Amino acid sequence: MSALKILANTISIGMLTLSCGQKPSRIHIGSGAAIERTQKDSEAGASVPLPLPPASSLQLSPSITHRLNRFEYNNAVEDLFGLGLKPANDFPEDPITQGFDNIAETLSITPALFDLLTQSAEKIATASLKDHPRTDLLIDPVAASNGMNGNPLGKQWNIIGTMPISFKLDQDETINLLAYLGGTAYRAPTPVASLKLDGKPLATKEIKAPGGDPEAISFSGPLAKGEHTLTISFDNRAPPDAVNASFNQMVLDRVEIVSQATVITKLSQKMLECKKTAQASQCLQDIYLDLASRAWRRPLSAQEKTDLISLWNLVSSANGTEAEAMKGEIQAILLSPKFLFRTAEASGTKTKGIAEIDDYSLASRLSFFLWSSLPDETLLSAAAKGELRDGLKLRDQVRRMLGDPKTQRFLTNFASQWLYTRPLARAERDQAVFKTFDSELKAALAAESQLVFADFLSNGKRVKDLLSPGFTYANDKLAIHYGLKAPGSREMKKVPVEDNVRGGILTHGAWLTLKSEASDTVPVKRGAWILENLTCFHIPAPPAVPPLEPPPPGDKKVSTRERFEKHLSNKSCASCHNLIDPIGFGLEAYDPTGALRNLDYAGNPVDTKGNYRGSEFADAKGLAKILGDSGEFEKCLIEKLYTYSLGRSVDPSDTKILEDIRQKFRSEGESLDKLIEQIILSPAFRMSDFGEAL
Amino acid sequence: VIINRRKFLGSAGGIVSLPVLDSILPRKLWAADDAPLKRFIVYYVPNGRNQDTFRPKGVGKNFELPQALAPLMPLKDYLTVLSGFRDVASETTVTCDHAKAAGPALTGMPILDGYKTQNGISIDQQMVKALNVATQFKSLQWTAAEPGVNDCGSSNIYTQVISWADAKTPLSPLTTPAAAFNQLFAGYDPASTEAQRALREATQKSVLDFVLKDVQGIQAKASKADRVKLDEYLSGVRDVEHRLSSSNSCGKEPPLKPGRLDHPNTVKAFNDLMALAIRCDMTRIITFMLEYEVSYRVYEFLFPGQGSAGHHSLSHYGNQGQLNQLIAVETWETTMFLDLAQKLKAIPEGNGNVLDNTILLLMPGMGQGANHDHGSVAMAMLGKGGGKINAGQHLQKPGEPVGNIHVSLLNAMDVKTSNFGIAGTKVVDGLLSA
Repeated sequence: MSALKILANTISIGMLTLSCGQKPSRIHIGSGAAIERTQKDSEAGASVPLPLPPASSLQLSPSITHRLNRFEYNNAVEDLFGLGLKPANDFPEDPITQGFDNIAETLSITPALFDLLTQSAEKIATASLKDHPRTDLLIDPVAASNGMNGNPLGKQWNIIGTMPISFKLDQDETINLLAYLGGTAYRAPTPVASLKLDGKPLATKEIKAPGGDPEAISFSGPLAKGEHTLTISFDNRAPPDAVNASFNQMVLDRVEIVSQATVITKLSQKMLECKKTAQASQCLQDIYLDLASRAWRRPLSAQEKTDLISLWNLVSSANGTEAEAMKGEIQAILLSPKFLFRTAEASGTKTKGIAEIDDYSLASRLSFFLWSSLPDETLLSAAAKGELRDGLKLRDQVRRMLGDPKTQRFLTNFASQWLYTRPLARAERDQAVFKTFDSELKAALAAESQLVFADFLSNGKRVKDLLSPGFTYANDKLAIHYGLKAPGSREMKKVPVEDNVRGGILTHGAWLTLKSEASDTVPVKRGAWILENLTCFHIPAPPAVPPLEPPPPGDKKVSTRERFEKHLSNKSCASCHNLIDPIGFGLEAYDPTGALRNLDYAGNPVDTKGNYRGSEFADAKGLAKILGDSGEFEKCLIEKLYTYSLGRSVDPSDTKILEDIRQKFRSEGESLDKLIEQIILSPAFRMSDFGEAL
Repeated sequence: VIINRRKFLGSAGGIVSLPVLDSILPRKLWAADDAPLKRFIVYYVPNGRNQDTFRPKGVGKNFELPQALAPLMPLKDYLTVLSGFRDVASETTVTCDHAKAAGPALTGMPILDGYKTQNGISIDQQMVKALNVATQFKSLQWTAAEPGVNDCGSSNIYTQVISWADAKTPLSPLTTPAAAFNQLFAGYDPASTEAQRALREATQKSVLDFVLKDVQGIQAKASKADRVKLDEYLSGVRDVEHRLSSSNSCGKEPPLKPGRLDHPNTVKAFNDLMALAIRCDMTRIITFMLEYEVSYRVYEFLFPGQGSAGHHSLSHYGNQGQLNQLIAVETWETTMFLDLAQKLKAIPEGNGNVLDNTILLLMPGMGQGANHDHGSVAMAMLGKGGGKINAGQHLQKPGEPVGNIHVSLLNAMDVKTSNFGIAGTKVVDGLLSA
């Protein structure tokens, strides 16, 4: 970013500052004049509801094409096919810029990604037409054993006595059950296996096949829905003798349970039904044309239809079947740039390059913001009728969409990035010190942040209360970790929190953990995270200063705070670290896993006194109050949501629009759902700068 | 005759029938018939290196292997250690410390804004571009790093990517052996018949023709920024088309697909796949990030029951115990590097083996990790680059720019140049054989 741009930002919205020493320039929002204007707007709304300002009065960022990111790709595929595949999990990681992985500028398609997209399209096409057994269980003997009645032999289980194996059927079935057994007989008698199903004998058989090449004992027949137990007994186990010091052995390699009934996939079912109709080929055509239109998020042009139909003819005539042709269609639809890229198209005339984006582009913007996926049929039909141009109807769509379960994707995706929970699954701690830090705790920590944020979508509270909501979400494991009263549940429950020691974002264990290292806290990282994520203060990169000397090896008992105070001794470091570090010091009472502590790593009492840009505070509670009162937290959340909703970074041309969103949001009660509405109703969301004619 | 493939495709208007392409591009286009095929592999390691145990004692041919390089003793004849270099691009970079390490590592360009996408082409991609060899894959980028934990205060493209196709195109690595396997053996089903495979390929070709046509329609009305994206998309389509019609020297029979593995076995699986891709001549250029920059990995398996801080904490050691653990981690990483080298050495080629014709670079992005130093950087290299590398020595060059290593490596790979990045101006004296 050029110096000029930075200056513009500093002056206009106080988002950036030139140096850490400067006081933030704040705009005073909520002045009488501003509110007056908003009221006028809504009065005018009676005749022209929630209108857009004239293009000539606007300055907007150019629209850039988005490549669907991994999360969006998985969701879109799920919404189209419902196969439970997550093919994008194998794709390279998406770039994260401005804290989010949906920033258009950096989302492109590299050759390696295109490879995987090709394979993914083929995999989805195959799976969508692959009819399969209704039940298909493969039981791993080591896992099934629970460590009892024998011992592991590589991936096999060496049976001693009777081994019970439980499994469950979701419905009444006629099944084929195959238990693969092998044995080693050093002496008589030959090992004999007795199999029982729910207590009834199935088979008794001498096992002569070696362990390395096991044989199957099979059973076929009807079985009711619910739990069942297969037992395998080995009762004639001959002990060692003078010739050989080993017991006779019987090993279970695996158990397969496959139903005789076949599940026909939804797509094959549709194709079968087509064949029963008089106009089979027309019916088949409708299947893939429909699919293309949903995947590409707009009605097909005549040319597009022709091209898709020629592809069908080409593939089916080349010795292919209808299934092969349908696979070809699916691959083409999913590999098309119209599926992979999201581009806004202009509608109507442009004024200085600025125009409303067309109905279908707007439908996609909405659905990718709120659902991280394709528009549904209701939204597409609203677009078709031109209803999204009407501010009130657009707002109704937003309200409908926020009530849809797919909003969970927004909650997860936005919150996991903004509140920094996503990398938690991979975080590791020094196990000698943090013995309770396991995957269950990590999952609970991540869930806490996301659930608290989700609560705000419908609780009507002011967004700034995220800093001190008076509640949090916890299960027993997390409650114990935090020193709260356990809710008596393995599931996460909403729990009241007194005194704000817990509950606010500042005290969420997820980010506190991730902004620490494996054995100690790092106040600088925590301070920087608060500045960048909760106040949108962009910390300048460190100047080119000579590196600090490496620490001399030795076992000094220096407190964490003292170690970091070294930053302040160098003048050029101090200008920024004077700002960053004292914020992080305020959270020293939270250890590298977010639990409360009285002593730091080196055994010194923790000191939580801190300082936020000149205002002193005693602890996290004090810091939360300062951040909430200053208005900077709220302003920053608006900026973060705006960035995420548009998938681009904020630039100076957004200043006025952001201010306007904030004023309207304030007049409507400051809740999260109102904020989302105001962002969507803003000209930045509904219009774009398409540049002068190319 | 070397035909510039991109130019050729461009002139054909984007619709290319592949048989033509293949007849123009014989597979072994690399060099004259009897010159060795040369390979270039980067093995990137994170968090710098503790210089006292990474820099050999003694210079020239008589040098003693330091502790963290001691595992390389059996391949000492193949080893070149470069030390004392100054990374001018990193020093000029204005973003967080670890992005300074990985961002310019192979580009030699400073990163001036950690949140914008602006770097330079990396040496591996410069080789790809200049040599234009028609292997199935022009290059591969993989990593054994744990995805997701980047908190360096820059875009993760500067901590998680070292290969750049150009200033604006970071080539993010694939993160699992299974994904790498899928990349190499795209959807190959050993149970399918010859006829089924032919049908599948025919369908795929029709699909690719379809999307090529599709993208042209969009291109016509795209903005300049969007055209760049569509161009990238098109290169992807063409690469896959090329792959459909070409084969490698190992045929199509893939080995077993790797499943879930612990960390050491994950790295070894990547080593196996790299050795396989090289053996089958599926590619000649690979960059592998053993970890992303800022690695916080906790090496429980090296210190069972003893407790250990993560790698990054160890690199900023506060006591002797942590320093010892840091050295153990770095030494373990050297053994993984050695594992790949030995796998390459086990593949016979000509009168020698593949390692004779390879440059395998163990590359940390900085010198001493504890103070994020870029003033004295050391790297280790195995292989003789087809006789181009004067191997078996320690070259100590205090203050010489890392950029000169870039220039040397490019020349060793027959990409003649005297400049690279902002600081590379000449070949490092004594590194290349006369």
